Amino acid sequence: MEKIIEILKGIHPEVDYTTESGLIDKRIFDSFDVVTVVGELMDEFDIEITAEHMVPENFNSAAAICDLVKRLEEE
Amino acid sequence: MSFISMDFALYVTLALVLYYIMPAAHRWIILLVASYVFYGYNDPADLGYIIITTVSAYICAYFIEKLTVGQKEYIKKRSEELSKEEKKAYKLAVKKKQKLILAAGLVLNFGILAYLKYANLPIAYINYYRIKWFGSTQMIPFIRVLLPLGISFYTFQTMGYLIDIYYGRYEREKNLFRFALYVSYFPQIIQGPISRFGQLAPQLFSEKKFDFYRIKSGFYRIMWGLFKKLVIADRLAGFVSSVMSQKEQYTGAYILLAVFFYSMQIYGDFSGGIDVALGVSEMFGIELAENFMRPFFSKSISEYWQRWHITLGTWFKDYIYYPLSLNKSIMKLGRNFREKGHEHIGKRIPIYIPMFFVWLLTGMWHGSQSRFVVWGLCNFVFIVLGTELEGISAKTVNALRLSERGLVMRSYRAFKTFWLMSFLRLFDINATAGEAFRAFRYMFINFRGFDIEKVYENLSLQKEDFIVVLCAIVVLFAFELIQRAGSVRKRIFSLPVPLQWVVLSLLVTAVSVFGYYGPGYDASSFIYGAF
Amino acid sequence: MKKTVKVITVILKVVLIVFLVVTLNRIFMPKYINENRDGRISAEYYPFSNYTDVIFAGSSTVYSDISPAVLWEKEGISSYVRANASQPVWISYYMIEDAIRCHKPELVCLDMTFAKYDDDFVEEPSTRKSVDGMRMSPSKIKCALASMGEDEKLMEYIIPLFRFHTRWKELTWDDIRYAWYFGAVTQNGFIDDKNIKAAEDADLVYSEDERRLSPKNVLYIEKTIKLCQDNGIGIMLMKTPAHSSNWTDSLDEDIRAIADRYGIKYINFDMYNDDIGLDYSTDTPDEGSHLNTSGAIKFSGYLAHELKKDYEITDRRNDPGYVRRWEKILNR
Repeated sequence: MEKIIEILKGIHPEVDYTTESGLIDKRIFDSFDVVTVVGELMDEFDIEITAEHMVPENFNSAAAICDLVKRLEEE
Repeated sequence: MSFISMDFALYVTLALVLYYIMPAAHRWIILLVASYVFYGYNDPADLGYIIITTVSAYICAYFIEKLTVGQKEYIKKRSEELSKEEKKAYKLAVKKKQKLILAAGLVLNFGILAYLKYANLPIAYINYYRIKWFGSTQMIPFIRVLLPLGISFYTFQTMGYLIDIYYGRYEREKNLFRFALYVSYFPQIIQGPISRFGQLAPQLFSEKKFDFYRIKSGFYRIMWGLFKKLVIADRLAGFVSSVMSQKEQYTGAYILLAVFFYSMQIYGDFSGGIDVALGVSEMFGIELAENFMRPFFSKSISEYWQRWHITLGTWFKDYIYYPLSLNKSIMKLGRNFREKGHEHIGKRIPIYIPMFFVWLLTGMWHGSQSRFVVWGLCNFVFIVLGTELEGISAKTVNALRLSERGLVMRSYRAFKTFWLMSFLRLFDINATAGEAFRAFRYMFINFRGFDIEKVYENLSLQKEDFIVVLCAIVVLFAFELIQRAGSVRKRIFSLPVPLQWVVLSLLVTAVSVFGYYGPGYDASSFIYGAF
Repeated sequence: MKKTVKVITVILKVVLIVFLVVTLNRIFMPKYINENRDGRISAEYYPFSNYTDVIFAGSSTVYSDISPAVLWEKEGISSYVRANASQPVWISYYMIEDAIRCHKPELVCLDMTFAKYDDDFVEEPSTRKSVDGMRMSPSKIKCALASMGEDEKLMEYIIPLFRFHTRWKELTWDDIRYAWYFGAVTQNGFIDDKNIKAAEDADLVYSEDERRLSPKNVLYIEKTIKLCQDNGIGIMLMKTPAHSSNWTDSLDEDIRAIADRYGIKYINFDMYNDDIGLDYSTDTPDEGSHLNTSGAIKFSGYLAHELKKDYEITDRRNDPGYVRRWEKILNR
């Protein structure tokens, strides 16, 4: 979780990721940002994120991203 | 049947009456019948295309889901016997089969679209070079195709659904007729918005009570759409095309004015049509996705594209941009660059390469001529430049002691974005890319001699029309300024009833009086002649 | 209580909408006050409808040749001219249908001048003048449907604003002033013209063409005859006098054949020029296409006598209601 927040802070430092739950819905992250985050997540956690996972629900909050990463690590 | 016709108004009224008479559980049937009758009204042959798309997508979705279910059962049954690797391999094999089915569906449907839209393009080129290089006088005849109504829209919407099924995002619609309604829902079939299954389908089939508020609210929206379309867009069309067809004669300021008016025209036309579509749909109790969010207030081109034709943009993002970004070879290429120390380039590869294709396709989507490809790629270049120059621009702003959030900067950015996008539309109004560039050049050479009388007399925009259209544009911008603080309609509905009536009467009167429609009135023809 | 309030607001809203729409329509419709006065004839009929014993229906020759005032003064015939420029037979038919709905006259005279045109005859301005003045009724709708050109829409007749909205550029105070004007600018449909422009040839010669009545004309002539006969109203076909060559003997033949079939009269008044005393060097404003005031007075006097002779038309000169009505008309 901390690592994830660190990655997110690298893109938009001004956001409070512990509470924010509308990263995509409120358009805080545009598609550029999302692709950058995904790239870093894949490197960091050695997981494979594919187009299939690219839905807003998976990226709206740090917690959601954390869930996604955990799910993918288990596979 | 055009959206902007009495026939359509009557058709919708009839459909609404039948819809609400029907027991709530069966209302979707009325919508399906209404959609098919509407679709077949122009040319019953069009129905063939939409039926092919519907049935093929239905069948593909059926087999994709069947494989998923089979796979789950198989693994569940043998969950003890199989090792993790074996399970993974099995899943992969199933996925491969599903991919084949998906590909078949995509190729068929996009193939039809591409054939109908672009088949004449290579023929035109072959003919052109045959004459040029070989002096041949023999021509390959063009294929006579009339694009079926809204084929790009329903194809995109349906293929989006199929990809989502492949990704396992939704459960497929098992009832073929319900699915047919999802594909053909008539308010959006002509010009969008392009809906998503998850958003539209539940609304189509849920049981809704009759609510007069929806009718009222939808009516306001339709009227507002007609205002944009009839009072602004249609009034400007003649002026814009006369300037562009005689650009040698009308240089400089005239072209600038035409460019400005074309932006107003196309916005009024497209967003007005969408307002009608959404208003009609709202009357049926179905909220479609917004397609425009005050695009002329955008502060950058990428923001603009999140506000203009939104549903097309998100479609490309979800089904082209992300899959390409996350494509293994592109990811690998980016990683290679980063490992070699080119951090900057490496990071951008998975962003810019997919974006390039998105804009290429967006250009092609807008039209089969090469000028649209140029147009799309110009957008791409501008967005890349905008992103890459962000640092410099931030420094400049700081040096000037301005704030990015201040009124000056916000106005400047909106102004700049508006004009950049307007200039790009020269590709849209001119017949070829070359002509578009020429028009752009003419704008700067010979900027003298603007004579408003010339506009009134020679350019199909009389003085009175000119005044009306300027007033209407002011009303449009005022409306959008108010809209930034929330729904204008909700605000109107919170007014005292008599005031609401004043607003509605003014709107309806403005549309019916100042709307640019009908045969016009020639007083002399009403003067009694010989009999 | 709550329900009553609701019902009242709904009624109020409907009244408001109707008022707004009607006002806009009235402002935007052409006014026909100073020129093209024939555009007022349709609308001006209604206040007089209950006093109409004879209806003359047809095109411009009818409203310029027939003066109801002369018929009243000569024979006490109380009549109205339901005519318009270029009014084809089918519009005349619906004019008569419309009139019968309110009040049954004693006699209908249907003019044949425009029966010479083919089925596809459409002249939008004249259709507008005829139909726009009619009150809303099934006859009005049917009339519009029967007369519209290809590009016209019924909705434009129901809500004329849709047709005339582009007049916003040329609206004048007169459009507001006369929006709700109910006065008369014609005299029971008669439009006088005091100009004189003599016809070139002294003798009237018809064209030699083999023109025949077109099916639509036959249909509506027969419909008119049947409508009148079914309602016990006298019906007569006529051709008002005009010094113009574009009439043919073949048309006369066709019309006479229909008249004979139904046992009614057809009179081509061109044949009675000498009896009427018409002189096309002084009695026409436009080289013989129409009659001017002096011609109209001569012809109307003759017509009054002929009608009185052939049909049972009540002499209303002893009926105080009619007398008062006519005094008003004649004193305008």
